[in-house]
Amino acid sequence: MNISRQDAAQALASVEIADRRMDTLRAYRDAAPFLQLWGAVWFIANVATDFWPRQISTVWLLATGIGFGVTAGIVVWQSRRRMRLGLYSHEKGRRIGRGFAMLGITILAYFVSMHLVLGPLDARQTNAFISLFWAFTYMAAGAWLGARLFLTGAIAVLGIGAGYLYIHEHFALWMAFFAGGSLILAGFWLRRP
Amino acid sequence: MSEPNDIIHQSTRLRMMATLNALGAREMLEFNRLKAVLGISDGNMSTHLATLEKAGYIQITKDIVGKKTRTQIGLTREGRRAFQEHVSYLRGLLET
Repeated sequence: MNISRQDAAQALASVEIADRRMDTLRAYRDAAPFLQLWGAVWFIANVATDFWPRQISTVWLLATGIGFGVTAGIVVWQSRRRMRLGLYSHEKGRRIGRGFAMLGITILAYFVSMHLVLGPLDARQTNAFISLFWAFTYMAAGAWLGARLFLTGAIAVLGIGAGYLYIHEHFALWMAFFAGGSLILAGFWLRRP
Repeated sequence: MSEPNDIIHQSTRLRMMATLNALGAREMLEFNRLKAVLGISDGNMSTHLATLEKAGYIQITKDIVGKKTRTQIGLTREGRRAFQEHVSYLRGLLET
């Protein structure tokens, strides 16, 4: 069998493309449950906020507490699955677990700092501020991991921005259906090859 | 320098092997997912999978999930080694 240098270069390029595509699909598959979980958290907490505005603190504390608990569970489950499949070692699994824990603490510290800097915001501002943070985070992650994640974040940013500017009375309901709903749907989209 | 592998070098099989090589050592990919990733027809998939299976480079398992048969494909140890050798050969060609 005779292979020219040009053939070899083309073959290696197709190997690299296949490799990159699998990395992207794996990232999408791993991101999907987080998007759907937080889409559900946004949906439930915002619907509850719209119907029981006086219970807003309890609702969000409970919803985000459950969200963080389930997030930690998914991280551990995905990490164990990757180790079982031989994708990475126990040491790498532990390192990634520590990375996620540090990321969680960093984000929490960021929100506490912002609260101190900006002072108390009203419920609508807080909702938009925190939701926009996450939507921009999806865009940032998508810039590295893949276009679908970027687009998901961009749609959420536009929806949250439009809702904040134009919807006053039932902003939380808009956030439930638009922001929560778009994340849940995006999770299904990310699972597709 | 290692030898070229004419079974693997065929363009569809090369992409197939590269895709499967990106999986973990004990990970498998569903038939339909692999087909969608490669963008090829059922018939084309089956032909190339048969060639690779005959060479001992892939393993195909079937099980029942719900009421449907699920076909999963993964690289064998021999397949992973053969793919890596072929890629090394191609890289070697470019370096000489």
